[in-house]
Amino acid sequence: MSDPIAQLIFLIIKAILLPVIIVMMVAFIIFFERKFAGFFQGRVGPTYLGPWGSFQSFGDIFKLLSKEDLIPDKADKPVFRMAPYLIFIPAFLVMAVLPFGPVGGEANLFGYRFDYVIANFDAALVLFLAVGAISVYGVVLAGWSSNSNFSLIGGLRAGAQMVSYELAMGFSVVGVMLMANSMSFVDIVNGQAGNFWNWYFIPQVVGGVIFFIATLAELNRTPFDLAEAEQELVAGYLTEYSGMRWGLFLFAEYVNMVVISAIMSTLYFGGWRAPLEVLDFIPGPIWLFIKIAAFIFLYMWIRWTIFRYRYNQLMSIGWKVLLPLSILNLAVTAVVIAIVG
Amino acid sequence: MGLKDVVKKGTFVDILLGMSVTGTYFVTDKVTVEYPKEKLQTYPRFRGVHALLSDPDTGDTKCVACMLCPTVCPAQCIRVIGEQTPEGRSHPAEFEIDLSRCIFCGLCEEVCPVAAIVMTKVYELATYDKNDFLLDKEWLMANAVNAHKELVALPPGAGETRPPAGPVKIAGTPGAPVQAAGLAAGPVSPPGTSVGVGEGN
Amino acid sequence: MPLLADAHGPDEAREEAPRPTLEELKARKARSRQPFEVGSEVITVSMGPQHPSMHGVYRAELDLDGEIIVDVRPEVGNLHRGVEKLCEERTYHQIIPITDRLDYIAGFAMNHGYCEAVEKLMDLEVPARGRYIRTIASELCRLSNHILWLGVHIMDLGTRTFFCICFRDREYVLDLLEMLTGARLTHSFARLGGVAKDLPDGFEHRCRKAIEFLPKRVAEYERIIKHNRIYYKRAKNVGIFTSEDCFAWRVTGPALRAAGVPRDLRKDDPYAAYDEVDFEVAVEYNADVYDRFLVRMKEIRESCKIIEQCLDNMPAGPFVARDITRTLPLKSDVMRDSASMIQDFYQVFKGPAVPKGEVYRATEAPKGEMGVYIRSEGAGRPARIRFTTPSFYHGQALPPLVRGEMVSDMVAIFASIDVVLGDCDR
Repeated sequence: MSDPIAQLIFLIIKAILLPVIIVMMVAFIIFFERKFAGFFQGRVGPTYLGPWGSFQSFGDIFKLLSKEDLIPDKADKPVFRMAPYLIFIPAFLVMAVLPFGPVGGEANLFGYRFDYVIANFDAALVLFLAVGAISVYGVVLAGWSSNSNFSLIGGLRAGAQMVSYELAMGFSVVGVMLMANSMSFVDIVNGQAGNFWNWYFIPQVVGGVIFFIATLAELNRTPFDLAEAEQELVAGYLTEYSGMRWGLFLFAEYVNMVVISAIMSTLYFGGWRAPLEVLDFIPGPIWLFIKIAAFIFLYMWIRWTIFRYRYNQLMSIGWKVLLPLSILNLAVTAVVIAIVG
Repeated sequence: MGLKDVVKKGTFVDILLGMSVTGTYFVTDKVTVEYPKEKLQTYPRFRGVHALLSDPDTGDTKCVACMLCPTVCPAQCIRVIGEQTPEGRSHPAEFEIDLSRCIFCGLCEEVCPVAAIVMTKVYELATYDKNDFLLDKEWLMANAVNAHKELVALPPGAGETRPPAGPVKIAGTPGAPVQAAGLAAGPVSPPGTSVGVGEGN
Repeated sequence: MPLLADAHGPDEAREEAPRPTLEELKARKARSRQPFEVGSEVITVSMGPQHPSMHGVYRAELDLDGEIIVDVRPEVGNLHRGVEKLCEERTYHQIIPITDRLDYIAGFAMNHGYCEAVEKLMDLEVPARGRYIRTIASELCRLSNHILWLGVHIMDLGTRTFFCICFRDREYVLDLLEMLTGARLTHSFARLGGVAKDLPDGFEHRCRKAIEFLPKRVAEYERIIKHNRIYYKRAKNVGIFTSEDCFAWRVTGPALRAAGVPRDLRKDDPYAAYDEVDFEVAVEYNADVYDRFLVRMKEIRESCKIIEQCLDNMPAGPFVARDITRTLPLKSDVMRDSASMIQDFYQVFKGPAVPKGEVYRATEAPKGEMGVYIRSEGAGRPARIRFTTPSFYHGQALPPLVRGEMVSDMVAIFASIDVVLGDCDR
């Protein structure tokens, strides 16, 4: 078998396996969210279905599938149906350019070179920022197409919030790009070769923290989850979605969470690299998995501890605090790199 | 805002403080009592469903149909029709409590001059049939097995029958759910003796 | 740890800051209101009666201009059960379980207030032990109420974790109340002339353990919330209700004390054993949501102190007055003494001998000042009872509080005012 055919077969396997793995992860993340919510609150979470309640998400999925599919009469039906997909399909696109392990000849399978990435794209960072913006469409269109006051307000709020924080995210990411001198994720991870003190979170600590806060807003998670605030406007842009359509929104949120955790670990924490070179024998995907799990745990911890900001405070943080700080970070990085070379 | 405040705001000290509290809850013991596998015992004064106590010698109820409890009931849920027994004693021909009206206040138990009506520790009253809420004399007499209080004075140490914090597993196969019988199956057997879980916080 | 303890600003600085005057509070209120022009399009939104944050079936019809509330029209009465009418058909003893259902979170406090009023009308004296037991139970209800308030308030701000934590801690208080009274929420424990039963064995030991660690829990809550930057943003200078406003709208309790007025009926018009115990009135001066939180946390600590003092100084003796025409007899007496049996029959069928007249007595319920007005025509059943419950007035005070604020603030402010619909609608 010649090399191009082997690569094609590998590509097909990776392209099928990756979404399947992510979907399975999301099913268990939903269970872990509820279990950890219980633990943080001093109670046990779900315990009934399966050992330690681990089949809870499957029970939820079956329940949601058995519900009636209600679409409001005056809603814009095609847009209503399409909105959830607009949120998570971009996330899968970004996963296609993220490396899980060594790329470019270091690893091989059955003697053929195996790249741990689906597409080694040169402008992956730009793809991430551009495609991430499409998620905003999903949220706003969901709110608009529901033909309801609450949903419209919720959707517009969420959209405005996501757009504002994307700016801070973009600027902090440019700092990483300057350090790695490339926009490709593969190069960024390769630029963090070595031990954990070579990772970018040390020089880019301000950018990392800003990026993390901005992703909290992108994901609509506490403390920035005003769009879904139950206490205030019922459920915001999700109000009119019931049954499995609502399940799709939940699924989209968690897929986004997985992807953004993966990106965060790739940009700042070395991606698939081990923290110490002696631990290199553990394969790359396992390290990436561990880092993703750690970030997801951090997101959950924050969600179940602190409460949410008011909307105008949220927007003022995004524009008046995070954006100037990220631009400052970028300026300082550029100056330091220009000096040090 | 001084430098110290800027540093504190930048390092999120206050938020980390909050997260440390929830973090400790994450690893310490959980307080859930997994009902129905585990149940908590109630205290001696707990006001559950009523019971009519009987005289051990005659087997008849102690109640003399004096009409104090139907009169004192704020919700007017007791219906008593008295009659004379052949021995010349007064006793209720019918004694019915409508649980859907009862507010479980305990006044009936308090005013009864012969300590015939008491409130037991049964609180699992869910049922599929509304008619089960009308408790008649036979049901109330059979429920006397669940009465757990001395009516006049508590024996010493009676207040401590409940272990401080831990759940009390009911006698039965450990792990298997104990089906709560509800009203339809008649008075349930009382929960088993407490398996003390020690002095908790 | 000093570094972590004052994460946002030391307590000493806050305590030493000059107390704001009325004019300054009004200026702060004016500044924090968002400017709006009535005349632009206003959406009418009905918040309630079923709403996750509306503390029961309270309906508030909001006129919104974007995020800003232009007007509020509250609507109460969804939980009206005709309690005052029910009381007219029942004897004074039978009314006690009904008063439980007013502020159902602090059932004994309602029983207590009612019994104080009837005893004032009848001029009946409660023995010392009865008064002390009533004080302990009332303070336990205050603890239960404030801990629940905290959980609900923080849940309205966004996190459900606090709700679970607070309910877990409230379990200890409810446990004690179940041990003492027989029920967790609907206590029905006070009787005319005292209480229904004596302290059970083991209660004192359990109670001391509980009040020993509840202040530590409060310290833990404060650690998460008091210096939290997000709580500062959402609670400082939000919902300022000056003492002038409080007097105008009959807002009492913690909201009034957070506005700087040290009015606490336990000190000003003592009842039960409150003049024999030593405690401080919790007062703050900034009249915003943050200060109402501080007042309630301090009240939790003071309640623990009061309970401890009552347990230490518990007098021996009867726990209920023995008066053949006016109180229910003890069960042990009824079962062996024919005079008590006759008293039993008389009290149940005819009710206590209450002189003709009228009385008003107010007590410090956990939510505010609860007043009971009774007009008696000399029978065993009252001719008219009126409960002036704090939540009714607090719910009524919502429009001046939130006009001009944003919707998210309204939720926080409404939670801080502490309205429970059973109390509001009766």
